[in-house]
Parts: sequence; structure tokens; C-alpha cells
Amino acid sequence: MPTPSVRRTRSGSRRLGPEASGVAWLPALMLLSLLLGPAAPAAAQSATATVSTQQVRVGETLTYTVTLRGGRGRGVGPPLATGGLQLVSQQPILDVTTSLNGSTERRVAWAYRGARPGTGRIGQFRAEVGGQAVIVDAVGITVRGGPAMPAPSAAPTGDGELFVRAEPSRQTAVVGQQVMVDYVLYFEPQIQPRQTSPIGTWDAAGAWREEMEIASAYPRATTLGGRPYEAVTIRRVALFPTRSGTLELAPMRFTVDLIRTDRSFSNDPFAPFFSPFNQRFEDREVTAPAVSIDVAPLPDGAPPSFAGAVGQFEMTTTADDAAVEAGEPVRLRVALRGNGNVATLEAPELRVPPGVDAYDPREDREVLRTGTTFRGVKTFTYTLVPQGGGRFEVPAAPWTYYDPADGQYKTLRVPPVEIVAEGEALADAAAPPDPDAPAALLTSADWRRQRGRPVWLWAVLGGGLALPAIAASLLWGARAGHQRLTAETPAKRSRRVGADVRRRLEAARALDGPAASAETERALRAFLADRFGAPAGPRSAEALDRALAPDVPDGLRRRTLDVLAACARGQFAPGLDDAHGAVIDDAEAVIADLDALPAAGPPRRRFALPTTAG
Amino acid sequence: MTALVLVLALLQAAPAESASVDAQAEADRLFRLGNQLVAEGDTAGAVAAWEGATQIGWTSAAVEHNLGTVALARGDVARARLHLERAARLAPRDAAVARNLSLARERAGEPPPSQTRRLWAHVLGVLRPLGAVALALALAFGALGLFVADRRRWAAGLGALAAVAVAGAAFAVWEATRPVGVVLVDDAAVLEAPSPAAPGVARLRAGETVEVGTEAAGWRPVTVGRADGWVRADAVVPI
Repeated sequence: MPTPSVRRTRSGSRRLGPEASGVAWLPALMLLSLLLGPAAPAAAQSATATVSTQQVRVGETLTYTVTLRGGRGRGVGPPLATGGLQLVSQQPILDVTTSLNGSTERRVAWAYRGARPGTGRIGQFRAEVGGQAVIVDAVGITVRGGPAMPAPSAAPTGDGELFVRAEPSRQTAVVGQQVMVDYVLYFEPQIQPRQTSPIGTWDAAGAWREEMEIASAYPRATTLGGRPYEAVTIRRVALFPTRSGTLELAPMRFTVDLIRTDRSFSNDPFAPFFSPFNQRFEDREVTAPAVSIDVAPLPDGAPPSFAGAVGQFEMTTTADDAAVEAGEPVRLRVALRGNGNVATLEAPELRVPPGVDAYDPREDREVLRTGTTFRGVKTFTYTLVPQGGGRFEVPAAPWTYYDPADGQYKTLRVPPVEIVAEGEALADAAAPPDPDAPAALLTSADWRRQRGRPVWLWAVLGGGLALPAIAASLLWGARAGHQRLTAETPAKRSRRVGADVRRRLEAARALDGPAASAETERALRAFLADRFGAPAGPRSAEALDRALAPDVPDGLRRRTLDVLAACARGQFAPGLDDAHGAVIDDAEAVIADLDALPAAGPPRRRFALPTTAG
Repeated sequence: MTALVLVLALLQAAPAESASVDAQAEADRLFRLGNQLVAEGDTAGAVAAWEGATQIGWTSAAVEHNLGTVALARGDVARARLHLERAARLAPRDAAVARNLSLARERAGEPPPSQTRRLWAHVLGVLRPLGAVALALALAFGALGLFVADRRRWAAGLGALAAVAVAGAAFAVWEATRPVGVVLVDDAAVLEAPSPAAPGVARLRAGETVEVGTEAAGWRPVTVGRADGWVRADAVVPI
């Protein structure tokens, strides 16, 4: 193993040429130290360094090992690499301290990689050991051009003692659902991986990819196929399928810098000290085989406000003071937080009213790449500027995501925002209404119970019309009855006259003298007028006789005139009067005989004369 | 005893009244949800919400108008007309309903109504059928009163008005109770008998209105002009 020149300062200057072989010096030095025992003086502070090779190819690594004697040293760090070399990691791949017989020795190693062809240089090593500064000179390394990189192979590589494989968190997913893929390095206990690096590019067509950070690289014991292994996650990737079908994860190649320990010395605690070369540094290349994931499409029925967000999210909204001057901005912040592809979340679409200018929202994103899910918060800041005074209401804005855990779309809403702007109101710049455009939707409802066709209206109309008809009929009937009751019919007249006649005759009997004769005459004349239409007024006997002639026989007509003559005499010639009662009796008898005559017209009711009538 | 009967009756009526109020509140909630969804662009969800509101025993001109307007915007003239005709029956004086119904009728191929028809619709919109009936009865009773009061000439004049009013009321009631349906399926066949094998009588255009009868075994009798026939029940929906 080539050894660069070593320089000890202050406590002793000793130089070893770079050509000195280091194969045997270290065991010999250790043996000498053991032989000297405790009586030997404490070894002086010194530092030496070795490189595993002085020629590397591009991409290959070499190990630079520094051995400090006389203490653990302070300020121990990797020398600067220049030229075609680069330091793989600040962390040493080896750091072993041994104390024996009061002498302390520490070995520290770093890995360097050939970066480009040419001459590389590992710079001067400086440290402080036991209060003394020690320096190791720089060492030059030749870097040669490397061979072409082998094409990635789909076949798994790595033997049984060291391999890597991709372990997705799920084998099936829907479009947009997060799939976490862990690349886990498995190795047997005699192998100590120190550093892993991916090689080349890795393709996962059809998926959005986010690299995750792995907090702990401590290996864990596991068993595979009955064999004990150590396992460590060396890479974690969050994938979000962008299309349905089979998502193929291409094989991924890694280089692994490892230390292999000869197991035959594993029980010897001094094996690393006495047999340092039983631990070999190796560079291995392993490939995680391809993995496929079945991706199903999202279910149907997505609301219009769905823009592809998949995961679990919550929304918080904050707004500036919504009372501003016209022209002043109002900022509305909508934060979407949760598990899922935060990077691709679309902003909720605000529908601002006329008179308010809205600018595209500013997007701020914070993601957390630790843990086993890719999560974060994306904040959209909307700027709304009222162009005039008045009240403007920005309606609630929906935002929908698909929750694969529940298997349904869920909608969050940005609450409505009312902007009150001070200033002159805007003129109504609304366009004239389109005659062919439908009227707007109605926003308030006047509810009523559902009923069938109002056929009861026919009953109302018919019943209502029947009422006046019925009333008219009743009225007409009442009027007719009244008229019948009040009309002067012959029968009624006969009844009335009969009663009058009877009343007068009875009155005549109660009277005496001319009054009785006058009453008797009036009774008889009333009867004649009613019965035969004789004129009641004329007192001419001839006229009365002519009136009675058509209906009354001569004898009876004579008797009637005689009675009337007797009545006249009783009134106007009392001295010649006839017997008072006899005239009345004659009058009644004449009336009865006249009443008994057959009627020429309609039948008449006969008079019911006083019982005295003959 | 009477008080006990009343109390028992009230106790029985209270749950029904409460359920009715709940149903109305639910209908209103669904109506507002539909409005919110349509504002968010989810017209399918809005239609589902509004239809849900009409399926719990309550209705409103607004919900029918909104259903018809969305259908109109979607180009579904037949459903637009169905819902807007229903809305117009519930709110004949609503300008938005009248406007959109006019558009739906126009897009369904119906000629615009005459001036007389529009005037009649306006009068009926003010009076409503029940108002027309009430007016006719009032005039008839007035004429009768004048007749009773022996104002024969006034009674004759008012009687003539009452006769016109009664005829108008009868027409209004006939229109309100006439079983009319809207054809939802374009080129729907009207058959002589309720059987697919029956000979055809006519064909109906989507959005057209026809007089319909009671559904029977998946068929519904219709009257088209002077012809009677049968159509499949799902092709015509009563207003």
C-alpha cells in the first residue's frame, strides 16, 4: 500500500519516503511497542497516512487512512481533494482508536472518488495530537478515464450477502395516490456498508416523484429466507401516479462502499489492530430490480371543483380586513395542508363579483420530506381589489379532493368573503340583457304542499253559481205566492163581499129606522154588484133591471127590485115603512135565491147567509 | 268530554304537523344546497338536490324554475318546458318564470301566443282560477241583488257581465284542471292501443304538450288534436 511522506513536528522529525512499503511496518511497530512494554517511553506524537491505491478510474474510490499516534488528536478532518478527485463524505469510513501500554493510536479513513481523468491530489493533513501539531504531506493520485457505464439491468443483482430491493408501500393505488418506495439494502453481518450512492438516472414514467429524507441510517436486524441480514433504507421516494395502468419502476443501481471483515478473526478483539488487512474496503454495485404497481383510475362522479388532488387535506382561510378603500387590495390566504402531492395542488377557483379585480394567487409551498409520508402545506394568496365603493361578496369556493382511505370525493369550501369598499360606487357597466338568455335562477322559495289538479274548482264554480239560481227561484216563488195571496180574484171578492153582506145584514138587524133600511140596501146592492156586475151606484130601477135581466128570472128580479124599493121607503118615507124585520128577511131570501142561480162564469162560492135567511 | 276529544285530536295531529314542518325545512335546505352547488358549477349535483326537494311532499315555483332553467341551459328543452310549465302554474306572475317558459316554448317549436292569449294569461295570472271563480260569483250575486231590488236594467247589465265572468272562470278552471303532459322523448309514437304491436296514430315531438290520461300498465292515453292514442308512460310526464 503506498504511503505518503509523513512528517512529525516538534517531538521529532522523521520522514518516510513515499516509496517505503507499508505492508510490514505497522505490525512490526506494534510488535515493538508490545515488546518495549510499559518501561518504554511514551511514543512521540506523530501522524502517518496511506492511500489504498495511487491510480483510480473515474467513478472508483480509494481510501485515505491516517494513523495518529500519541493521542486521539484534535481537529481531525479529511484533507481537501483537488484535481480529478473528490471527497465522497466528510464522515470517515473508518475511525478506530486503540490504547495499549499507555500508547494510543487512532486510525481514521476517508473515501475519495475519481471524478475526472487527470491528476488528483489529496491535500495536506493537519491535526493536533497531544498538544503538538502533526502534518502529513499531500499525496498525488492518478485518475484514469473510466469504462462506459453498464446499462441498468432489470435483473436483480447482488449476491446473497449484499443486495438491494425496492419495497413499495402498496402494490395497488389510484391515480394521484401516494406510494412510498423504500430502497432497502440487505447485507450479511460480516459486511459493513459505509457509503451508498445511486448510479445513473432512474426512471418512473407515469409518476410524479419526490425524494424523501431518511432520518436514520442505522441498520436493523432481519431475516430473509432463514438467513440473518442487516437492513438499512438507503433511499426513499414518494411516487404519485399520473395515469392509470401499470406503473413500472425501473431498476435502480447503487454503488456500495463497504468494509468486509474476515470472519475467522471475528472473535479476536485485537484483530482489527493486529490484522487490519483482514478488513477490506470494497466498492460494490447492486441493483434493485424493477417493481410494478397497479394504478387504477379515479372513480367517476368527481365534482367540477376536483382538480386531481388525492390524499387527506384540510383547509384554513385567513383574510385581511375586508373593509378597505376602493382600489386597496384585500388578501385572502387559503392554506391546504395534508398528506399528498402538495406540489401539484391547484388553487380553489374564486368567482369574484363584477367590480372586483382578482389576480392569480401567489403560491407558497412547504413540504416535509421526513417520515413515511410526503406531506406539507400549500398556501394560495389571492389579491382582490375592489374597483369602486360598495359591498362585494365573493361566494364560497369549493375545492375537492379524493380521499383514497375513504374511497370518496370530499369537498372543502373557502368561506364567502364580503368586501366593503369605501369610495364612489362604480357605474353600472353591465351589458344590456341578451333577449335570448334565460332569466337567472331564483334564490328564495315559497313552499306549498304538493296537490293534484284543482278539480275542486269545478265544485266551487258550480256550487257558487247554483246558489244565486236557487236564491232566484226562491225569490220568484215567494213573489208568486205573495201575488196569489194578495190578488183580487172573483172567489176572494165573493168571499169578501159575502162577508160584507152578512155583516151589513146583521148590522141592519141591530139598527132601527132609516139606518137599518140603508144598511140592508147596501148589503143587497153589494151582493148584486159582486154576483151580477150590477152597478152599485145607480139607483135607477130600470138600469138595475137591465143589468139583472140576462141572468135573473123575472120573478126573482121583481122581488129584488121590491126589496130595494122597500129599503128606499124605509129611508126616505118612514111613515110608509114596512116592517123592519120583514124587509131584512126579504133581503136575505132574495140574496139566497139569487145566489142559488147557476153561474154563467166560473163556479162561485156561495154565500153563507145568516141562519135567519130563508 | 269535548275538551278531552279535542286534546286527543291535537295530540294526534301534532306529530304530523311537526313532520310536515321538518319536510318543508328539508326541502328548503335542499333548495339552498342546489343553489350553492350550481354556483360552484356542479349542475348535476344541483339538479339532484332540487329534485330531492320536490320529492318530499312540497313544491315551489322557484325550485321548478331552477330545474327548468338548468335544463334549458343544458339544451334539454323537453324537461325545461315540463318544469317551467309547473313553475308557471305555481307562480303565473313571476317574470323570470314567464321569460324562461317563453324561451322553452319557443325552443320547443311552439308559435308565440297571440295578444289575446297573452292578455288572458295576464288576467288569469292576476286573478288565478279561484279569483276568477270568485269574481264570477260576486257578479252573479250582484246581478241577483239588483234584480231583487227591482233594478231590472242594472240587473240585466250586471247579469251580462256575470255571464261573461262565469264563462271566463269556467275556462280558467278548465285550463287549470286539464290533464296536460309534456313529451320528453323525441319522435314518440302514439299507438291506437296500449301495445307495441298496435298501429301508429301519430308521432310526438319532444317538448310538445298533449292531453294525457291516467297511466295504466306502462302506457298513458293521450289526445293529440282530434286523435286519441297511447304512448309509453315514460315518454310523457304530466305537468
